Amino acid sequence: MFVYRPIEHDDLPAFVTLVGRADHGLTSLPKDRAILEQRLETSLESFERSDLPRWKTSYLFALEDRDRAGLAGCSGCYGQVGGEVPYFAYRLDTMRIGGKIDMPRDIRILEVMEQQHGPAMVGSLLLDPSARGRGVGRFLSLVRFLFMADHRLRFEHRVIAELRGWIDQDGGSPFWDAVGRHFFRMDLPEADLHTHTIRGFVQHLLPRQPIFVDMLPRKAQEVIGGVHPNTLPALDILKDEGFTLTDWLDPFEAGPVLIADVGELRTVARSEVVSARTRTTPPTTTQPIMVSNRGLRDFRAILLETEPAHDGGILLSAEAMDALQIAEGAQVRACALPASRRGGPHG
Amino acid sequence: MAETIDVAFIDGRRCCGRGAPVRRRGPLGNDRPEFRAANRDDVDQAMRSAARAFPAWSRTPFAERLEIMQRYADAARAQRESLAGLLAEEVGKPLWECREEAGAIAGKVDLTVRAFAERAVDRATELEGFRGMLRYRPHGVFAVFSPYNLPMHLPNGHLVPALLGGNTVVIKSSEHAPRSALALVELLLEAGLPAEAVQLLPGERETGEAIVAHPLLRGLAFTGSSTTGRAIHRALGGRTEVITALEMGGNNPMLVLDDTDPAVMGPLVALSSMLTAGQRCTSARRLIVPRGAHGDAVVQAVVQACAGLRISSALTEPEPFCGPLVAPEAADAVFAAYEARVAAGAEVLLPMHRIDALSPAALSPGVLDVTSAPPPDAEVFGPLLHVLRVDDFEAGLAAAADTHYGLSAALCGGTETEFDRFRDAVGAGIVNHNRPTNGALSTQPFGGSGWSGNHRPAGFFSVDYCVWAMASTEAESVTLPGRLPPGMSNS
Repeated sequence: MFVYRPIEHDDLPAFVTLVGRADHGLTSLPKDRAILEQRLETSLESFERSDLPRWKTSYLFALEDRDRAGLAGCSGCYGQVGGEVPYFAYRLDTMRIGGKIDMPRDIRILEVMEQQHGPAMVGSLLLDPSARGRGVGRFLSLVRFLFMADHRLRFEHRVIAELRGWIDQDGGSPFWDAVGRHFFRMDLPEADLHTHTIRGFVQHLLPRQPIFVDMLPRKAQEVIGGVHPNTLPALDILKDEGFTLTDWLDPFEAGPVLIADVGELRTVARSEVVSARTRTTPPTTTQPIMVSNRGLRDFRAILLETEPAHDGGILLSAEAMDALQIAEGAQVRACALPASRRGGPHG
Repeated sequence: MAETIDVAFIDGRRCCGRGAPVRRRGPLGNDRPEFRAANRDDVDQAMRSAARAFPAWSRTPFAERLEIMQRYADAARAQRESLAGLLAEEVGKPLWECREEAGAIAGKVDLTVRAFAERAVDRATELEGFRGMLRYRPHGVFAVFSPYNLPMHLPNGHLVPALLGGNTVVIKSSEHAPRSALALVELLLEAGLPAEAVQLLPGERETGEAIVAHPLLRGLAFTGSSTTGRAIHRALGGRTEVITALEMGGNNPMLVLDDTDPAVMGPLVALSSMLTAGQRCTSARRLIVPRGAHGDAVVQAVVQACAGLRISSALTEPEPFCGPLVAPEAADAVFAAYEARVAAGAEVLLPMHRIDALSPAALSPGVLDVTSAPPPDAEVFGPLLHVLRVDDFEAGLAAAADTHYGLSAALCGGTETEFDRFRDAVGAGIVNHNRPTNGALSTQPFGGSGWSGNHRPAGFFSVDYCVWAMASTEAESVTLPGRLPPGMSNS
């Protein structure tokens, strides 16, 4: 059984291993033990304190497989992007020239967008290759919204998700090579690392002048707003959940940024608060259902095949009740896990 | 590219106004994040939503409403640091002062409970064959207009009694501090307040006008300038169904007599006039001092104390006394008033400067002797102190009383009898002896007369305008009286 819970001090070695095994690092979770330890500490502080401004919070969760050692995955959510260090993105826009001489042209530009009071964000999702399938990837993505549903005011009312842009077979990014490399003068993984170690790294190295898309190499133009095929299932999951594409792009690889109103997310809107009781007989029909104990520091969520909630109650196995660390009759939040569109290995 | 923030809360949802974009600069001269004002449609939607929510909220038992407000107080206490940080960012006040303001939010709930118990508690009287009942009822949709100088504490002073009393509340936030008001709304939601019982409308003058004009308005508590307050009063002329409480400005005098110690008066007057860079309605604006050596020493001590005040931005160390004003245009207006008075013949005792190195909104304190060039009777909302030299105590009383305003006043020195005479002469709401003009007690009413208020003081008496008294006589069943008046027969 998979249990989703806040990441703890004791998880650090397994966490480092999980990040190390990923094909490509995430900007938010670089392959550096010291930085990962720092992220873990910030996360625990966010769960434990109630006086932090939203932009200082980040909630990191571990996906634990009770039948195995190690972490099967992790994912996280952030109260607000921006704050002391602004949030940067490129915005794809058009500039109209030649109107006055009746020779109008619209040229595509990338404009730097800087936000200090941005939306909330979900990210930091990693799934160990061994745990793929049976909806675990979808669970890891959507269970964050079960948490957000019970702690609405810890998050801005809108939320973004950045998807990893196009990376070619060698791990390079055509957009990075055409744009960012000229300013940052290093490889992409190194730049990702420096966003954590050098204060104001992007703020002080990214020029604010717009970039004319037509002047970029063709390959770089083609990947603007695109995602790697491996990331397409994640895009579908988020769109089905209620996210829409913005015209913002990650400034390093030009991956797309999606946005949604938290209150309108499928998991937030359709999940129900019901009371949980131990089932004594096996269920007749089952569906994959996400269930959380509505906690904060003691948050626990599971994915299990069971009968959906009805009449204000849900029946859970004794093992599930134990995994959620709840007593008989406790309130839980439950939501059916939507089916995968593609039925592929990342399910 | 300018960023836009959503600082409206309408019909249970955080959203963006549909009116004009509001672009202002902040205390450090930087661009504030842009937001959109609430337009007439937003105002209408919010007022209707608050009106729909009113029946259920007003019928919720007082004990349940109180539980919610107590959770609100708990949340405010827990988040004091981050609330203080937000205040420092929006208003530019030093962190120590912002912590005081953030810390004062929670206390209002218990104070209001006491005030209701003392001033507006339901009462029953048993009479011969029937019962007399007095019940306090909420008004309905109650608007709270927030100023920028204490953009959490001041609206909180109205919304706590309004909500506890059973009204639903529509907050018009200050265009300089929209996020401070949003923070209060979020605390209320966290506490479990039904989401339609509070609405938040950001914007400028037009938004305020639309709220005032709305037919569903039943109460309005305003804190701000006398000009705006009196415009609201005029706009509501004839609308007897709307109760208004107007907390407006002051031109507050401090009369300092010869039996005071200049070494004490210096800092006391500096504190009274320059706290919050002079942006308090109770700031001492006019220092009235008898002519002579002692008076000269008092003025000299005040000038020195003002000159020595540390002014810098909120997050600097060591902590400053005050910061810049809330925005460059506020500083422009104050500096222009200073220059006009100098041009009209005022004697410069301490020159006011712009502190460009800090911010286009930063001003150093100015002290002017206006004895031979009396300025207009106006409130200059910044670090400007006028000094008036007078011949004697009687002339001092006349000078202190010579204003249309009546918010606060202080007499320093003098006997009980002289303070008695001072109170008679000065018709202000807050009149102190041997204490500064600011720093009012929360257990007392807070309000002024003349151009400063409309006889509905806030503070401890705020419950008075949040509920009204309904008198009832109630009998078990309908019976005729034992004896009918002459001319009526029984049959």
